[in-house]
Amino acid sequence: MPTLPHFASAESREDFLQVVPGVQRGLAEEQIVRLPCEIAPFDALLEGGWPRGRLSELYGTRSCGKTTLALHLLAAVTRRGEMGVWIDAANALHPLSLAAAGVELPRVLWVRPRSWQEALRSAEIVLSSKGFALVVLDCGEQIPRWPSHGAWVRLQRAAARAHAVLLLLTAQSLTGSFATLRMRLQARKARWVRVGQQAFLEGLQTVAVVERNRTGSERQQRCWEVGWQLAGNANWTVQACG
Amino acid sequence: MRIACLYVPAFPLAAWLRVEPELGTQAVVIVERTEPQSPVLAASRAAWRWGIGPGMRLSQAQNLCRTLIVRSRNPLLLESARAALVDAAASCSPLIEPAEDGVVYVGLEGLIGHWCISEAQWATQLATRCERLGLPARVAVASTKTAALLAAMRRDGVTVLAPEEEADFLAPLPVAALRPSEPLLTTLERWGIHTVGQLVQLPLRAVGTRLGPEGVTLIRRARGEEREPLQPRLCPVVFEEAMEFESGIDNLEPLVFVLRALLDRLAARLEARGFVCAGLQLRLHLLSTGWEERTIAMAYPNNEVKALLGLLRLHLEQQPPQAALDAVRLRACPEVLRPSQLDLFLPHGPAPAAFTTVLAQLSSLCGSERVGSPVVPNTHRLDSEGMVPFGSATRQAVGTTPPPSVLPPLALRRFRPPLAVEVFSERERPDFVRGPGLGGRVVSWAGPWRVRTEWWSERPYARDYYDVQLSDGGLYRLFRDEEQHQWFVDGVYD
Repeated sequence: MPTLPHFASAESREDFLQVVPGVQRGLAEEQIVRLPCEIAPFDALLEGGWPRGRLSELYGTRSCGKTTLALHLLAAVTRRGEMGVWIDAANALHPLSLAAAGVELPRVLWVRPRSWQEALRSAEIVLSSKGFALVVLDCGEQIPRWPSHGAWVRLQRAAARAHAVLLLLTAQSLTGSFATLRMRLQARKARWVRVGQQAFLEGLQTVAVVERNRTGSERQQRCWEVGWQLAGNANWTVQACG
Repeated sequence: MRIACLYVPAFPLAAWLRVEPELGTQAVVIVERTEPQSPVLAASRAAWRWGIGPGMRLSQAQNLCRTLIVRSRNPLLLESARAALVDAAASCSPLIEPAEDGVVYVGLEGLIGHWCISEAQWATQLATRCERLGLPARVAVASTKTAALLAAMRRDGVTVLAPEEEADFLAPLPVAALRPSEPLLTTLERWGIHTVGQLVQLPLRAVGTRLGPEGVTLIRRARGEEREPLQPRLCPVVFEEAMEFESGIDNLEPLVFVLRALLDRLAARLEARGFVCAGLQLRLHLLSTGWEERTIAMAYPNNEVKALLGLLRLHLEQQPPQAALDAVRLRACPEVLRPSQLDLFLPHGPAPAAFTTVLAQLSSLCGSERVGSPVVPNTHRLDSEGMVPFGSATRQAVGTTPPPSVLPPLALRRFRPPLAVEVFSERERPDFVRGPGLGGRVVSWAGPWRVRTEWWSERPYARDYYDVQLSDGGLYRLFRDEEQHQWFVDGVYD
């Protein structure tokens, strides 16, 4: 059944319907299914989670916390019994970090392409199987060759058919207007704690800004803090701090 | 017991047509060697129309038809065709007795009424499976092997002879159809016995007296009282297809073209037997050095020709043959793919068939060693990591999470291999770091955490780890290798 696109606000929806009268007759509004990362401030920021069947982008400079956030999303996916894929174009995935984030490793397919072209092709292949809830394409910091617009359109359509979240992890924004949701992370400061003579890296304070959201409100931002508790059972703590 | 005979007429020709089906409508003959005096072993229907038949000299045949296509008898193709015929039979019954070239006897014991409604339906299925494997076979069902073979040789398609019809069917056939020895056939012809119907009229005792045991056996076969039972054999499960080339191949593209045809036939045979391909063995006959064997592992067993061909192509691109080759053998390692029960309470994963294809495609694209599930080996080394084939890791593996002291506080993005950097220290604390792609003054730091393990091995692991924040804003994990006396950046926290 043909559907109306999702509008960021009721006003923009009304504007659209005025410009194109009669469109709403026989058309149902598209339902967005979301994949929560089970971190309350983030899920609130994203109005429920990352949209399924869409291309989303999470970017930020080195040490901004984007990989930690993506691992939390992957952990949430595997905890629910679904499967996730990590396409490691940057060749940087650290399995110990996956285990620490609580990811069920047998539910993760780790693909290590040798080139950027192989990474894009791997994403398309994985999305053709229609069984993975999350596909993370970790592009790393250096993109040797800028992908064409056609590549994003193909991936976008493949994600829609697979009903999966396709999350692009980059150092800089790559997708332009092709991403349904784009979030930028910016590190504010690292937190260190001193216990006796010894110092420990306790956590990281990061600001998350939703730069583009075709399925909800844009320009929202949250500050969040990720770290670990020195005392106790080393559980990760992620909390809103502003 | 009812017995079926699977018969492929002109088997050497059928073996060639299985490889080159486009020759099916043309005048083709098979000879032992492509020499003018070599006799024709088999001829296609189109060749028969030109008056060419087995036994004729090749030069005679070529005089009759200028456009005659000549192929020499190929033992490799015959071997593959024999195996394919056995596969077709084994897919329909466990009781198989391979006989001469192009003939397989199959027992129907316990099949009719359970697996198929009637013998005709079963025989049609068997013929269809043979057709799928590229062998146009005739199937006949009768009470004895002789009757079944004769029916299959005389009639096209599927024939089912009821026990009461067998005598009527055999009666008009010439005695030579029962394949008696030459002297016995001459004697019978001298007696005026030309057909099987006349032969069965002879008194058994008198024939025994005059012709001996061979005569008695012949009459018993003619009467359908054959005492030779079906002798089922356990056929080896070998899936191999081969091809020889007239001239050496020294290019990848024609080789891939041939491999695709081999894979098509292998996949059809595997599918007929209910197996999937779990690995491939490729044997290349190089003109200079002889046979060279290669093994191609697979991430997940499957029968998708496209994916298997991708694996082979990738392997050959990475390790091309060192010389031109004139023969190739491809063997598939069969495996039974066990269906898995879906969980009632968990979301469905990818469909197994689609998932198999995906894994195979990914393996062919990136290499099978680059696709799998991450694992954390049970060791104290902080750089240890591994990958296992997806689906082989159990949930128990999750329990091997390392102790909290080892866990990184944030997700670590590793540099592979670790970046060698220069670290300037002041009062035994890192003060400045300089390396490729990073550098700056150390703003904050923590450590060292000394990790010493595997001291008993040749390369002991002795490292002092530091977490540092540089003035460029990056949070890094550094270590100093005590063995190499060198600083490295293990990764960046992100």
